[in-house]
Parts: sequence; C-alpha cells; structure tokens
Amino acid sequence: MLTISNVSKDYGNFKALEGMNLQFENGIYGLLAPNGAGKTTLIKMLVTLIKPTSGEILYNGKPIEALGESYRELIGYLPQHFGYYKHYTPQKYLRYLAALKGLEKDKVDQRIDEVLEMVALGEVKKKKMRKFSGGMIQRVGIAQALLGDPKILILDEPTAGLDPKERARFRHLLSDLARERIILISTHIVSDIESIANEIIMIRDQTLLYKGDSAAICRSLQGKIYEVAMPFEDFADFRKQYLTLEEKQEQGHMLVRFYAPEQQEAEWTPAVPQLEDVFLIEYANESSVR
Amino acid sequence: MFGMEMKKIFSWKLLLLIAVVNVLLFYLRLEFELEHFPNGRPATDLFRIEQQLIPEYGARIDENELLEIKALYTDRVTAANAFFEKEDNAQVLGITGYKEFQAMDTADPELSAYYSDLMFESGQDFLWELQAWELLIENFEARDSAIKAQIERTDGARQQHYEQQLAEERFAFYSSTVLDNFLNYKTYMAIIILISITILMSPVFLRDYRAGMLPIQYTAKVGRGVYRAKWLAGLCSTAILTVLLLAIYMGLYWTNGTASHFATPLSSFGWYDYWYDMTFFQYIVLSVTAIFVVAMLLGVLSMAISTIVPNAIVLIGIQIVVLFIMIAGVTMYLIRDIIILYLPQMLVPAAYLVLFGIIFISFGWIWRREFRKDIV
Repeated sequence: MLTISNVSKDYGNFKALEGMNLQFENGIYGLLAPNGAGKTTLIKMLVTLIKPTSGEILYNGKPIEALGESYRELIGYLPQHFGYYKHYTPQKYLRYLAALKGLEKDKVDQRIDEVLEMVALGEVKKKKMRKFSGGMIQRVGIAQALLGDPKILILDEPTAGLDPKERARFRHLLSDLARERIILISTHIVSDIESIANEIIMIRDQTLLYKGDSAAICRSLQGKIYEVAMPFEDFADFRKQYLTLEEKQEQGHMLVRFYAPEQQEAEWTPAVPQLEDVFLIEYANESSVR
Repeated sequence: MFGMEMKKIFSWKLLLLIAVVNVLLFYLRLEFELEHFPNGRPATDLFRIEQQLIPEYGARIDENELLEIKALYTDRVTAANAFFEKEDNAQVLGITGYKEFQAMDTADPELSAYYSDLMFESGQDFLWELQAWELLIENFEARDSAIKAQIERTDGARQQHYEQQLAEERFAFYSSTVLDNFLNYKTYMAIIILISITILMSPVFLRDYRAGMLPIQYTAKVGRGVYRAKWLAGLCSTAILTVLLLAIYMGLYWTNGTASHFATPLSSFGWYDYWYDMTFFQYIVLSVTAIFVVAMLLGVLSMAISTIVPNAIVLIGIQIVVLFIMIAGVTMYLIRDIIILYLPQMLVPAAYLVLFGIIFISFGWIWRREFRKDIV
C-alpha cells in the first residue's frame, strides 16, 4: 500500500501542494486536475524526484526516502515530457534503461521484446527513434515505464499523441496490468480514465478535492445536467446564465448540454452525468479549463 | 551502467570532431616542430655535434676532454683547409684556408658572391658545422661566465641556486636546440589535448539534461547513483583520451631523435635555467605528467560546467573563457614553464594547489547540490 500522509510542498512562499492525504492499493487511479493545481508536484514526490517540505510518503508503512533503491525498483514512471536519445533505437534505449533499472542481464532482451510487443513497436525495435512519430515515441515511453515490471506505475499524460486506436489499446493494456499493481494516471483526457479507473482523484488549489469512484461522483450530479435545443439568437444569453458543458450546432438550432443545479424548466431534458461534466463543473473557474 | 555511460561519451560524432580538430591543429602547429627540427642553421649542426659528443663525453666535460674536443675541431679545420686548397675559385680570390675564409671581407661583391654560393648553394655542410663547433667550444671555455653574471644579477633563492650550480660545476655546455623544440612541442601538444578534453567532456551532463533524461534516470533503481556513474565514466574517458593523445604525440616526438639527450641534466642546456636539475628524460616525464594532471582537472571542470549550464550556447560561451584561461595561463605557466627558474620556486606548486582547490571545491558544491536538488 502506498500512503501519502499530510504531504505539503513549498517553493519559497509558493505552496505547490498542501496537506495531501491519499492511499493507494492495487488498481487504477485517475488523477484529474487543471494545470498548476499540483498534480505534477504530487507525481514527482511519488517517484522521488522531489522531496516533500512536510509530511511523508510511505510504502507498506516505510518512508520511501528510507527505502531508496528498493522503492525505486518498484516504480515505472512516464514523465509528461519523457526524455530519449533520438539517435538510439528503442532496443538500445531500453537496454540502457534496463541497466539503470537493474534488470538481470540475461533477461533484458526478452523483456524488451515483451514490452515493445505490448505497445506494438516490436517491428521497429531496431529503427532509430529520430524517424518516429509523436505517437510512436509516446509508446516507447510507455514501454520504458513497463520495462521493470513495476508494482507502482505512474503515468503523466500517457495518451498524449496517441491516436484513438492506440488509446483504446493502451486502456486495455492498463486494465490487464492493474490486477497486481498500483497504476496512477494523470491526464487531461477524461475519457481515457473514465472507463478504466477504479478511483478518481481530483485536486484543486493544491489540495485534495475528491477521491472516490467515478460513478459516485457522477451520481452527485444526477438531476443537475440537462440538454436543450434553442434558436441561435437565444444562445448568447443562455450561455451567460448557465455553465455549458457541450455545444453543438444542428440544423436551425443549437443543442446545448449544461449544468443547472437549482432549477429545471419543462423543455429541458435531463441528461446522464459523465466524468467530463464533473471536471468541467469543478474546474469551471480555472483558466486552463475555461 | 558505467559501460553505457562510457559509450555515450565516446560517441562517434564527438570522436570524429576531436579527430578533425587534432589533425587541423597538428598541421597548424605541431607538425612544424617535427618537420623542421632542428630548425635551420646552426641548430641543425649543433644538434648533430651534440648527438656525437653527448654519448662520448656526457654532461660534464673536464679540461682533458675539452682538449679532445678541440682536437676534433682542429681535424675539421684541417679538412676545411684542404678543401680551400683544392678550390680554384677560392685560390683566385685569395682564400687559401679556413682562417682566410673567416676573415674575408664580405662587403666585396666577388667575395660575397663566393661566400653565398659556398654557404647556401653548394650544399657543403662543413662550414656550418665548423661554426657550430666554435659556438660549443666558446660555451666550454666561458662555461662559468654566464653563471657568474647571473649571481651578480640575482638575489635570494635564485642567487643561491646559481652559487650552488657554480660550486658543483654544473655548466651549460650544450645548446638549447633540443629544449627549445620540446618546450614548443609540449605546449602545442597540451593545447591540443586540452581542447580535445573540452570537446569530449562538455556534453557529459548537458546531453541528458537537454534530452530530458533526468526524470527517467533518477527514478530508476540506480536513482541518483547514475550521477556517480557519469562522473566516473567522465573521469575514465578523460584519462583514456589524454593517455591516447599523449601516446600518439609523444610517439611522434620520438621521431625527432632526441633520445641522445635524455640522460643529460637540464643544467647542461644553454639559455634555460631550472629550479631542479633533473635529466631531460625526467623533465619529459614531468611535463607529460603535468599535462595529464591538467587534462584531468579540465575534465572535472568541464563536467562540472556541464551540470550547471542550461543549454549548449551558454556551455560554449563559458568553455571558451575556460579554455582561454587554460591555454594562456595554465598551459604557459603550469606546463611550459614548470620548474623554470625565472618564476618563484613555489609559484607553480602553489598555482597547482589553487587549481586543485578551486576545482575540488566546485566539484564538492555541485556534487552536494545534485543529491539534494529537486528535479522540477
């Protein structure tokens, strides 16, 4: 079990994270937050890149700082902007990282083949990464995170650059892996975690806003999300009154999905709340979401 | 992991660049010291005579040996006299022997033309050699006058040094031809090696920083231990490149054929005075060691700079300044002029200590910083 106990991080007077308490067991956790909310700070503390100013992070009851190498051995980490050498092939790159991760030498090549197959890069393992597309590079990043068969897999924006087919494949892969490990995914793409995350973690203003399963949080919006069709000329005024979640132009009118917590009009049709709605509503005042 | 860091350092692109720089600088400066050694007259003749005299007489020449050397010279004068006696042109101009040749009026156009033809066109070496013999015999005869003049001119430790040299009769019988050449050679060799080390070592840390590799490296099992591995690989790479270049360039220096002078003490060479009277070979070993030490220090400094600069432009800017200091200051005083008498005796050792101090304090600060800092 991974425990974050009253963790804060300050940079001078700026508080990057404040009083965070979380617990992780095997399963997939989706970390949702707008830019600057503190999710990257949280992730960097979990992977030992930065140290908390106060509080502690424990793995099976022991501080991760004290565990050191034996804790890092359990981590697979994909940073938001992951580094690679353009003139390396995926095979050479993963061999280098296998050495850093302390993999047994005689099993390295077999493991590299396995993870490259997982991300559908087996056929290009000997091609230089200079020629790879953004999606292929991202898949190499995912492969390196999986290389050490980690018990804690932390992925920061893992689906950036992936096409819909690759994203679906990635979700299936994570679902398979989650049975015996902690997987924490930080993403802006709500649909990527909605269907696979056991729990959603939301951070706002450097503090924990919500932790629980996505169905429960969506239920809290039951009866507050509606759809309505309206003439184009009414739309501007409507938008000033309500938080719109989806706006679609249809023939002769606008179809609007919106949030109305306190009232209901007869012509409004109740809609099923989705995780995306929660995200847009909770972070409606954040500049990065608007 | 160490091996992989070594492979990253010795990338073929950097090795190619280092090779190009070495070839370029070699042909710009170093090759001259090989191709044109000994350089001109009388250096060529002095070197040739010294190669003959040193194995026979060594560094210390007594009065009897001086007489033998003079006899060797006299034999050559006799041969020169025989030459002029057989020379019709010389006879016509009234030059009947070497003594007349020496005394002839070169303002006279005919005599001047004959002189030029004989010295520069005819390919006769003996007249140049005779001048060189005379220079060396003058050195032998006036062996103590230079030291006595220095005793008058100096004071303190330098004066004591000259007094001791005079008391022990360590005189400068031979020319500075070999030493001049080696001083130039080792200076240019050091410059080339220092430039090569800078090129090889500067990207060690910046390469991974720019590639965004640190988060992945530092969260792997080895963690920040990879930083240690990079330093170790960097130090080994510096040592390997330095030794390799030293071996190549000293191998080339061997072709100058100065081995005849190796056992000769520095005090036997004219023009230069040194605090310590080691043999020429020991001086070569000292110089090579100094270059190795400075190259290692520069390697450490280059890697330290590589850890703190944000990009290649800043790196190049800083390294140009560092290289200028290393060439104009360190190479000149700590390598070229190591143990030379005109510098205070403790200046160079103190300068080495300061250099060690600066680099190791910087290294310590950077090391501690790396293990404490947040990777943001």
